[in-house]
Amino acid sequence: MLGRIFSTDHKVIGKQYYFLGLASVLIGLVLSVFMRLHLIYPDRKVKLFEMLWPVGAAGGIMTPELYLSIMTMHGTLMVFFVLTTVPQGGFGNYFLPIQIGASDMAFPRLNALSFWITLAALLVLLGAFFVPGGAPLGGWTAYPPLSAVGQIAGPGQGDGMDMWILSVALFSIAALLTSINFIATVIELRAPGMTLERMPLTVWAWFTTAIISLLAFAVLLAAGLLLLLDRWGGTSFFLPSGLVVSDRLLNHSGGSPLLWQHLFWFFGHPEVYIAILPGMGLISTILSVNSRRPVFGYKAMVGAMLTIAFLGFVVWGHHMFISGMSPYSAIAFSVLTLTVGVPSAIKTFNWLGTLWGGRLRLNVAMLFALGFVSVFVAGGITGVLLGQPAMDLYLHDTYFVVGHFHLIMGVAAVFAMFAGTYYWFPKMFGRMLNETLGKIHFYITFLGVYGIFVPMHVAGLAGNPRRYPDFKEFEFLSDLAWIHTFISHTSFTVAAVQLLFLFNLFWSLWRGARAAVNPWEATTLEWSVPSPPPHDNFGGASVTVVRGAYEFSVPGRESDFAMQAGETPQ
Amino acid sequence: MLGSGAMVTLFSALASALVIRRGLGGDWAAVALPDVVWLNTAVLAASGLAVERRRWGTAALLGAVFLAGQALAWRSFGATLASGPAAAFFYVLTGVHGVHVLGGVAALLANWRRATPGSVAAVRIYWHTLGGLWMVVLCLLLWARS
Ligand code: HEM
Ligand SMILES: [Cu+2]
Repeated sequence: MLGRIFSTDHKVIGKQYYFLGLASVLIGLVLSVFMRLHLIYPDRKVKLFEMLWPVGAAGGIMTPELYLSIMTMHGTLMVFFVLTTVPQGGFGNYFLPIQIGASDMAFPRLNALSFWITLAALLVLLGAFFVPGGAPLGGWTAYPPLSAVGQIAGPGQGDGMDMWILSVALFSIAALLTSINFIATVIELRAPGMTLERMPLTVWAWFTTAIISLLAFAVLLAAGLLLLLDRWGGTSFFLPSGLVVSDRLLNHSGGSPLLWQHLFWFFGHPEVYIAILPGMGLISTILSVNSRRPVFGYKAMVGAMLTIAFLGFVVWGHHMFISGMSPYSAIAFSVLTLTVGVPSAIKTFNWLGTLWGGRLRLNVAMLFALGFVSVFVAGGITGVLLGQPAMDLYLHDTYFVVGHFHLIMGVAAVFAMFAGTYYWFPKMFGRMLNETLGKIHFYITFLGVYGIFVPMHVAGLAGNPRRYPDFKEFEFLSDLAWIHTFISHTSFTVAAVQLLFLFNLFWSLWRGARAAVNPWEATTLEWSVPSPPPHDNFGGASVTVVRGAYEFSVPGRESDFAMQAGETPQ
Repeated sequence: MLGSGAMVTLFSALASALVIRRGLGGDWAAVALPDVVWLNTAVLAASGLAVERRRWGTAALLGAVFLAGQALAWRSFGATLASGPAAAFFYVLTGVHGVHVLGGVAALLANWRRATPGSVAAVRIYWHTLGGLWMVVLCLLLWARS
């Protein structure tokens, strides 16, 4: 039993990451429902709030501070423990070694260690709810000065903020170790015949993501350390002179909150690619498998991915247009940001090219893949608007931004995770998910997320600020009340439909139909081994790879797909 | 090798923070570097030589001496963490470097017990990166002193 829990098998670790992410996304989702509830009924007494937060919601009414702490925890859980964890740590761990024909990761024990550190990071983060003062208020970006001065900046900025920094630091360490492992595995452990040009795009994506994480999380770790020293050590990295908080003059001097913004966003923008690239790789594969056509422009896809990874490191300034930066820098960041549109457009074009003329199989994984392309385009368009300083000046910190990043980062990556779940569940657990429940889940979620996040853009255009606990004080926002009501009710529906997904998941785990070796008639190596694969993946057989990852409908061949594996290993 | 990549980025982030922080505000108070760091530098260089000769035990011992020397430097340093940005960077840079050296000493000891070709290559790169980073840290601190 203990041996199973503390296993060093990459498949067990992958599943552990998956379920860690699942727990986090559920907590994050419930928190978002609480926020949406409070936003439209700020004065209603809610028993549940009082039970959960006797202090922050005394009498059942959420204080502004409690709203902000829920928002911070929602964002942090979602970005770190869902988007960063599931696509890379979960699916990546499970399938990267199999897809390149290896029996495990390069450093299995290090891999297990990374998982346990990630779990510790999650527990520390959730612990913030239980320390005196509660969870931090500063958003997932934790901007100083208010994140650096302690309790006087608000209840959660005391111990809660310390827990947050500690959690993020642990998470960064785990992410660094994982990245090292992924990169070493791809370089060292590919089976004979698995040349770079034959690697599935998922492998390219995990590899590229690992390189980005390696650089980005090191910077976040450094920033977190400096922030902690400002809090505990009396240093002034991020704290300027003459700062007055809650009527108290602080004796820090000479630092700058902007320094944090630079360090944070140097991590933060690449982070969104860490969240989305594995999804892009997976979506390319699912579209190809289910239209029975090779990926259109394979090399361009790899090139676009590497270009995006590189550009991701030089655009951080677009989060700081209104920080008082010189207009010349703003123009430079703006041009670079818009350049990211080029590889993104290449990818979108190639996805459509893959679909074009294909014989589409609209299973649930495929539907979520198509949904991914849809929200990626929808969110990308508004990104182009926000990338221009003149527009961002007005739209910054409004609900327009909330709508934008939820679509392109949150929903797109979550759709990729759903697609991955419907696609890989048979391989991971040896059983099929129910397709009918899956389709209901897809259609309601798909319409629902547009119903939630498109109206947010409208509210933002009308000047509705983000990170406000309620809007009742503001005359000019009273006309938007119906929009918020609509958003909230749609979000309750979407949240409820996720129960259907959970039911499907757990019901199918025990009761689903037995999965065949290759139910989707896909070509990559994981579909040549039993579902679920044996302990060392290939049962001791040595694998050789004889062709590329996407040989579908090759003219003159009998079958419309050809496996990458030379002979089916038993 | 990859671990080195992450370390280099970590130190680059700290170094750029130092450069930017120095450019900000006029509160950069110069602090003197304790003399013992020069001795420590020599010890670290010697440990690098020992690694090249595959004398893992000796290298680990020298690494430990380096850490002891750094602790001495902390004690004889004329300022506290909170006394100014230059002092703060002294503690941060040497502290972060020291933590990595500690890990390196553990790796050297592991090699002393049992070395494989893979571990030899990894430890060599790691240790030399730390040596290189120490030179960078030293330069930054010298610059911070003025
Ligand atoms: C149905 C699903 C979701 C709903 C209804 C929802 C709702 C919200 C709401 C109401 C806010 C607070 C906005 C504000 O007050 O400014 C928020 C913030 C945020 N959400 Fe979500 N969210 C959902 C899913 C997600 C997902 C999947 C992600 C993953 C990326 C995510 C990431 C964030 C982030 C990063 C923030 C910003 C927190 C901050 O301001 O620091 N959300 N969300
Ligand atoms: Cu960005």
